[in-house]
Amino acid sequence: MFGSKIKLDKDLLAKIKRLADLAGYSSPEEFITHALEKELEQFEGAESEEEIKKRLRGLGYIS
Amino acid sequence: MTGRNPIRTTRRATAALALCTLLLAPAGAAAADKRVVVLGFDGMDYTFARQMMAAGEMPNFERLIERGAAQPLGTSVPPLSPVAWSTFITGMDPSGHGIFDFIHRDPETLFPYLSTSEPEDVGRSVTLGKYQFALSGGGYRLLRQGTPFWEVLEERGVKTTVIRMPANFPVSGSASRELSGMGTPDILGGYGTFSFYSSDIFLEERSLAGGEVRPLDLWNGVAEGTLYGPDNPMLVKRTKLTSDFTLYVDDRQDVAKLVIGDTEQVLRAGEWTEWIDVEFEVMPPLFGFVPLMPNLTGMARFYLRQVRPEVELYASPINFDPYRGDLPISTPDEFAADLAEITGRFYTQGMPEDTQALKGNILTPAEFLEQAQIAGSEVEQQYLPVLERYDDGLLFYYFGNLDLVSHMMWHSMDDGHPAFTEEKWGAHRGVVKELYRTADRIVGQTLDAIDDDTTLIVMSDHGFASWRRTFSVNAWLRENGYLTVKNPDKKKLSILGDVDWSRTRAYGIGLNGLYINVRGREGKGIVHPTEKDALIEEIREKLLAEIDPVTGEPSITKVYATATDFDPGPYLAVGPDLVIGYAKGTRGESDSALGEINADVYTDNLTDWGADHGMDHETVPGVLFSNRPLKQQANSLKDLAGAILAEFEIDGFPVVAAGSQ
Amino acid sequence: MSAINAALRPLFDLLLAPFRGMPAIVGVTLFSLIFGVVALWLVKLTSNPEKVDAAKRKVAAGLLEIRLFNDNLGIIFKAVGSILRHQAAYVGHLLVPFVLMVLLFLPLIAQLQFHWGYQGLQEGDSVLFKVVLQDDWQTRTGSDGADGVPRPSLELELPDGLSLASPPVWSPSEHEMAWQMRADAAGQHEVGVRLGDATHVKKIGVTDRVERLSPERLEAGFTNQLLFPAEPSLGADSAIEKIGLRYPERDVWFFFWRTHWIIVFLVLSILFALILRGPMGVTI
Repeated sequence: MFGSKIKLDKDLLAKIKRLADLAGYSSPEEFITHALEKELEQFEGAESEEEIKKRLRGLGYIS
Repeated sequence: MTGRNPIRTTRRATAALALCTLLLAPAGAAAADKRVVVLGFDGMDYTFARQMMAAGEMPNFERLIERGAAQPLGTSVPPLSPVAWSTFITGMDPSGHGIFDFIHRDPETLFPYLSTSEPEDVGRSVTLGKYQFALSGGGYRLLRQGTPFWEVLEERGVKTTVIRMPANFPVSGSASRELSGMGTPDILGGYGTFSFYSSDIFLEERSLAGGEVRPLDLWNGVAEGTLYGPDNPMLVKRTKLTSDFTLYVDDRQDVAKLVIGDTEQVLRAGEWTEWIDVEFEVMPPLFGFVPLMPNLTGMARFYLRQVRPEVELYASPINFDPYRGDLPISTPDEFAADLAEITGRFYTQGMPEDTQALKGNILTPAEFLEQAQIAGSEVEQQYLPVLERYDDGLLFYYFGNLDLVSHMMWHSMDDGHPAFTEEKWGAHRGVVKELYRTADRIVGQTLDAIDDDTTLIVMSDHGFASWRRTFSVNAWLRENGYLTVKNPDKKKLSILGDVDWSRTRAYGIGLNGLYINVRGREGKGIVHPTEKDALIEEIREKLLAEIDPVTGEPSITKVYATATDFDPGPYLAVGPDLVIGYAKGTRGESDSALGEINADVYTDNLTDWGADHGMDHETVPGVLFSNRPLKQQANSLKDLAGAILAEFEIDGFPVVAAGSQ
Repeated sequence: MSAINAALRPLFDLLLAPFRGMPAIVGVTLFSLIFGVVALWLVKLTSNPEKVDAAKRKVAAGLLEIRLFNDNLGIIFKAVGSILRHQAAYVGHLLVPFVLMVLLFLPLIAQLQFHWGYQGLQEGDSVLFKVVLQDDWQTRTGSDGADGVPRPSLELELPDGLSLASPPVWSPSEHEMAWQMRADAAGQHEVGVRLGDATHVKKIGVTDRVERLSPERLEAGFTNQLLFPAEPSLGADSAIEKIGLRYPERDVWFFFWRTHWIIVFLVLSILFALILRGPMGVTI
């Protein structure tokens, strides 16, 4: 999954493994990737689809 | 402040150029003496206006056309305000000015965007810890192309004043005085986002169309809330700017004291404030008092909706302050502040009537009308001072209130409308008539103020119709096999993410737009350019044969292929391949306009936005009234600017292409 | 301090009376000229010109030394030491007049602030009027034991020319009662604030002239009277801490510069002092 290995705290990894399944992810990797992507979004300039649509909905013609 | 705004620099250069042209212009003295006043009433319907006149309810319009003319004015295709006004401004079809709808799409990603202006990318920035410093950009760019008619007038030495012309933000810079209108963003960069605060702990914090519902923490008579601004431009991590306020609620009477920044005011339940400064701290001051960056300051109006049982407060979208010059909304730069000096601060955002707060059940129809009255009277109050300061040349003044209030109130005159109920709308049957009487009063004031040599033109961009039925173009395309989704079981489908593009030949974006998924143009296009025309013809025929199963009537009466039905123009590629002209009473569905794929093609329009004009353009003409027959006939919006120029004995409009002058 | 202010208020009202109809900058200019002259006169009276001059010459000599021997670090260090020493001496020689100036001018400037620092309300303006009570207002007013939220029985007596735009809001946490008030007619109005048996009067100016305006009437206290001398203080045993409203701040135009009057005042005073020190024979 990762191009290079990243060290994670043992306890954290155990927690991730336990919760990934509960949260509906197919694997801990998917969970971690998703969490990181979500966090990264906050640093990237591009707005999400939802945010763009939300702004367009300010226009009365569109509800 | 945006001292190094690139748009402003360009505007100054343009203004300087215009001045040189003006000084060097050999003739034009005759033209300069002429006076033409044009009043634009967005959405004034020809048939309804004539009915009101026939009933004797618009005596000043009668006075106006006594020795003049009255006629319906053909509107644009599609008949949507930004398109229609751009056609008026440039004398061209959308192919010539590049505005085809409220919403356009990026052909590569299909992301929708506002058609008239766009924020410029912030260019390179320097990062320092958690802070970033932008080195360029941060302004807005007007996407409407073509040469505005006032530029031609100015070049011939005719002074022009252009107030709140839609699709003119950032302002062109070529008029002597101008103020932007529709298309001017609020502080969040959109068409306006209100905030609604409630102390009701069961009310969920959520986003509505055009607004946010937020909590008010009430404890011992003290309620605290937070206003949200745009992302902090100085922070690397996206963080919203915030500004807190407090309400002190009296324990006996329905009054509360609002404290925000330096402002303190006691409000009764049901009372609106004037404009109040809202300050956002971009960077905390050094040692708590040495300012490192100026704060971002906007302004808002507050409405204390109720105090008991729950405290409810409405905050208008946060507007840019006309005194501050943070946005390129006027020419000269200080003109917006000069207007504010005369009449007080005003909504700088376009389309300020908060239709979304009514649609979201935040404001009642009566409360919405009060808000719309505030917004409308700001515009009306500025009119006479502007008229008084106008000496010669052209004055254009725009009134948008009639359009937005008609959208919400027209259907109160239509008992057969699916959203009509007597208890909600019955009391408001007379509202639209009152709007026309207001227009009549404004025309009366103008007639009293102008001399006999002045030409007065009253016009509108389109008419109005009750909107009963909706048509979802993406659902129709799917049903007819032109659009295929990846997972048919998914509930909420959108062309962004849910479409199998390898089996999709067309999609809809915008209120009237339909696009072919063309190879080489769309990111995942499959239709070969040589097959495009045949597909357009095929879809056009099918759409024209559509019958609404509930009414048994055709739902679409015109379909325009932009490549063949519009005049050739350089911006054809920006817009859709087909523009749908819905039958009077039917309009494109809202979510579909943002690319969503609804389950049903046809639904009743159950929203409070009960009337519209995004239909067959022949069914919703605008008006053209004048106090004298015009020297040059104008049958449609496209001819009108040419006819105005003819009043000044100036020809050479429209200016066909920028390069060929 | 109260007694001084009681004397200064009518004095300044009288002195500034001729300027009421004029832009504030006229009065600011004239008074900065007077202040400049008085300051020079104080220096002349209380400082030793020879010593001041000697210290100034020593500082100049030090600076010259640095320029001449800028390659000799030892001399530079010595020169800098000398400059600092004589600079301190220079300040020391002028300390007495400076302290005198501050003592004399501070109350005067405080007086002027309430003539030039604010703009009166305009007819039609709406303004928040508030009465803040002492922390122990309940003990002071003897209103302990009331049912529900304790609330003082505050009443306003409004003159013609002012009216209430709202009922009051009582904020127990701030022990503050606030009304929205409307200015209906021009004038220096007096609002009576009645709490129990005591009535305090608060002035409210609705005017477009340059007049004395007092945003707040405060409880008794030396600093309060020093910094807010425009109205007499409330009685020492009053349950009211302050009565106030907010006037818009006034800026003055100084050529193309719009700023607070005190900045213009200081700049002009220094300018006048520099111009007049020769003719007045004062060494600074």
